[in-house]
Amino acid sequence: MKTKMPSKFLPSSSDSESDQHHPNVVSMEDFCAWYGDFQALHNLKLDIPENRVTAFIGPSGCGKSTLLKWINRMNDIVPGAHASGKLVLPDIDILARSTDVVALRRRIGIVFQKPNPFPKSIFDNIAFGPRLHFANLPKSDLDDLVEWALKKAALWNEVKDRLNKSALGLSGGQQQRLCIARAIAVGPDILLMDEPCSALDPASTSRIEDLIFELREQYSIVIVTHNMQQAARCSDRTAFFFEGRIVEEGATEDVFTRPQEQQTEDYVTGKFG
Amino acid sequence: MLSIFYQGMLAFNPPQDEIVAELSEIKSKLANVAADSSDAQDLTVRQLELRELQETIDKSFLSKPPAPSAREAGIGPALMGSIWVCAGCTAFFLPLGVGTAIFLEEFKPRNKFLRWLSDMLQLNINNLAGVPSIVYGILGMTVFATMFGLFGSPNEPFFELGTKFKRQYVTEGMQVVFVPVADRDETPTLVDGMTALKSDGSEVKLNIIGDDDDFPEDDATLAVSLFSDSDGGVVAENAWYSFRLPFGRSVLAASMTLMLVILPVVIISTQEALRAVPMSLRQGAQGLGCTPWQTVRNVTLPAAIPGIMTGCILSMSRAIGEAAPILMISGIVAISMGPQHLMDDFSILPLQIYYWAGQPVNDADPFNFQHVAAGAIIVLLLVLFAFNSVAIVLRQIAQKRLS
Amino acid sequence: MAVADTANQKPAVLQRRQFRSLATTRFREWFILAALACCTAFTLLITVTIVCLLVGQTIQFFSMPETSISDFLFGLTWSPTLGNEKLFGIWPLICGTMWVTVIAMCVALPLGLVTAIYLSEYAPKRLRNVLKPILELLAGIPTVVYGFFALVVITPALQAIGIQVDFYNAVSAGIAVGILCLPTVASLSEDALQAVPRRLREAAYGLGGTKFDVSLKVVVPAALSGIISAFLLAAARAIGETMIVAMAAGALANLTIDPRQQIQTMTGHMASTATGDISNFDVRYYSIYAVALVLFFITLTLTVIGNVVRRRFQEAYD
Repeated sequence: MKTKMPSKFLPSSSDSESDQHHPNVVSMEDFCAWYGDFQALHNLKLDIPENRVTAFIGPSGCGKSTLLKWINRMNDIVPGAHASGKLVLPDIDILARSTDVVALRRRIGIVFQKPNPFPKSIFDNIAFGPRLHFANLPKSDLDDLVEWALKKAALWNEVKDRLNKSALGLSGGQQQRLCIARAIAVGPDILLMDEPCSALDPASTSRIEDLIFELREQYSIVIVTHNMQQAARCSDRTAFFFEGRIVEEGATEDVFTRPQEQQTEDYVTGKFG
Repeated sequence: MLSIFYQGMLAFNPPQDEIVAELSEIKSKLANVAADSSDAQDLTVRQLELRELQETIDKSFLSKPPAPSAREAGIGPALMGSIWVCAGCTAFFLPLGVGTAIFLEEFKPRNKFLRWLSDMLQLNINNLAGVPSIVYGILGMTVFATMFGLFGSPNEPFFELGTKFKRQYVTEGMQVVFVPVADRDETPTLVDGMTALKSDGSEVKLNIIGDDDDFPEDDATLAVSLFSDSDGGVVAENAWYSFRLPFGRSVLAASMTLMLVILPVVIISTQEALRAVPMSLRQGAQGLGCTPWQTVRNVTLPAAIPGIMTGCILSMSRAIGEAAPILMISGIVAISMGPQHLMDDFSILPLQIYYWAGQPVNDADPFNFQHVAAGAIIVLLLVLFAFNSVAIVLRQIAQKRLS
Repeated sequence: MAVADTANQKPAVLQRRQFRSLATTRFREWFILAALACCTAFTLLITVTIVCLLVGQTIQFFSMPETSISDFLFGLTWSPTLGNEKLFGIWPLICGTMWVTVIAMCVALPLGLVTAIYLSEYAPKRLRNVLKPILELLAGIPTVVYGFFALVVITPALQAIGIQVDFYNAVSAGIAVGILCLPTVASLSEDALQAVPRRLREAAYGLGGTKFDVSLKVVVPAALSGIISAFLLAAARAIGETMIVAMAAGALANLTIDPRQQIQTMTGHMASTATGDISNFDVRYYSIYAVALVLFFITLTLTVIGNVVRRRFQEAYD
């Protein structure tokens, strides 16, 4: 099931030297998306590199969350949502009808704006995905997996003594890290994060940002944020969205310090948004 | 309201002043007459009668069968009938109602036509909730009880399972004996020496008196003697699994009819309970790769269970109090036992109240059927109060869980 | 950030990547969806069966020699049992139903509305939390209890205050039905009042309105269509109510302008005709289907209008 990434997958538009070593995991071309008659995204062209953090920034309503949700087809359940163009993983066409969303979501995990742990125990929250997907799952392996995921999400030390307590008893920041651990436990390649810190206090936010930085060793991460400092702090590449189009895309440093477009400059310097 | 309550309390302990007075009168009379006179014998017989009556009256109101006299009447069979019908109704509405609610709430289609269809279904359910229950009664009567008359009448059913027939005879010694027969139309030929069953199930050899035979003299033979041309009535004996088409005035027909009445209510309340589950939980499950049903099964349904149960219990309490549809199906049935199987005749508490409330009232009598009806109302209200209390507690749990 | 060395080593399960079969999952999904769809289709089947059954049996009824559609719709006498001449004119039954419904609404509407306004606008939160469950409990009381109440409490009470009512009469049945409908009116109207946005109230208070002004002149008019829908749904319930009228209103189909007499409603006729005697397929038996069709038509119209108005109202403030 696991795919071998094509080692020579040419990064198309990236000009930064460091990204040459990172093949693309998601690429799109001429991608358009609609909600009913309203076109939310216009002819996007973007590549998301492996084991890097890509940030989508832009004012609210610019379509960044819409794109994120299309990457693992969360928009499937939204009435009237449809899309066209090319949106592919190296070996899977995301938009194809034949693509099973369950298989897709095993590879692409998602973390939402508001922490949404299930009203179950901490252990059951993490074990939820594995129990759903894995055929051969002895108890000892499951225990290992839960411990591993919680360690990855830097939550193990805080919860190891109360794995059987309800996840709703955790603080907001802990809940969000639990949600990250829950997503990791399925073993995805890509993690999508939809404004993961917007509901959290600054201390929790900084812990999550640290975590994101750690996780990029093993995961390709896409993070949507309206907080530009956050994008600057923890992302490698940044795409700036405005009114459904990508205005500018490139290495984070370039976008923030040497923006090519006037709109980008206005936005990152706080003139609007 | 208080007067109803007061009247009802009397039903649990009917006044026996007159009986007690007559008994003490008999006692004093007995002391004055010679022990072996015919007066004394009459008095003793009357005394025994009164004592028996007293015993009947003293039996619990909750277990006594209804009777022609108010003092002896109780709600035993009706209470059992209510429990059976309510349980049967729940067994039907629970899967159907929850299933429909889940389908409409959790499997919302994206296709425009299907969305229109699901809107129409929703409107249909809302309107079904406003259909008078007596119309459902007519529906149940025609579809379940008589099945359009397609399968014969309920007394001559088209199909029967688990029913055994017996012919009942009264022997010359006034003994009741039964002869098993294959179906309700068969008349057994009575042969000398054939075996028959007594009421307690034990077997006896019958002595058949033909035209030429002498009439037996001794009691033992008389007890098992029948004339060869004697005619017996058909008695049906149903096993616990018995089944027939059409359903007739049975517990099953009543349960299914009540289910029709309650179904829209259950669907609407279950939908509300499902809607109260935050969207973020469903998204979380779907983001992990749950299919829609896995989302429902693992996340939405467990979170909505207390709310769904609240709705179901309230619906059950409505089912227990509903009388009109059952009136259409079974009418007023006087029975002495609660139902034994799904095809049995039955009565329910509300119908028993309806019947008693319509009985003529004799103002001179300090205890009449109005008191009995009030007593039954108290029992019914207590049951409903218990149901509602459970529902309120569950609702609080539901609110706590989802907040 | 103490991620141990072992943490970088993926656990065995993730290395094995043995997934459950998608085909099985999909098949189960399809199967369950089909089962749920069947449940839903059943609700549609109920409606279709009701309509077909009532229409079909009504046609049967009108095909009998004793009956005709014009007599049924315009006849002024309903006597299905008396003598040789059986007359089936629906108006006496409709008259009886109207009396009960009108009296019930006269009781339920003002009381229910006042209760709703009090609960929504005046009552402190704690009192509300007590009153609402009581209202629900009232709604859960079986109708036979109200019927008994009408017989042994309302009728004697009316007689005691000097209203000359018969033992069975439309007034006490109507009052009992009104009490039965009161929780429906109150809770639906209260929902409607609660749905009026706060900003409307705030604006009215901002203009210096008193609580009374705001409730009566701003909130109630704003919630009017919701209140109307509550009224329609409650009226449908009153028209369809059976046990109370069967117990307290009598059994004499009577085209009368005097509600103190005994009357018979449509539901009352059905209940008294079909009390379990289901093997007797005569013209009287079929008459219940014709009456049920009229009843179904009236209540369905009221319910549909009520539900449409309610939906419009909810959408207006969403």
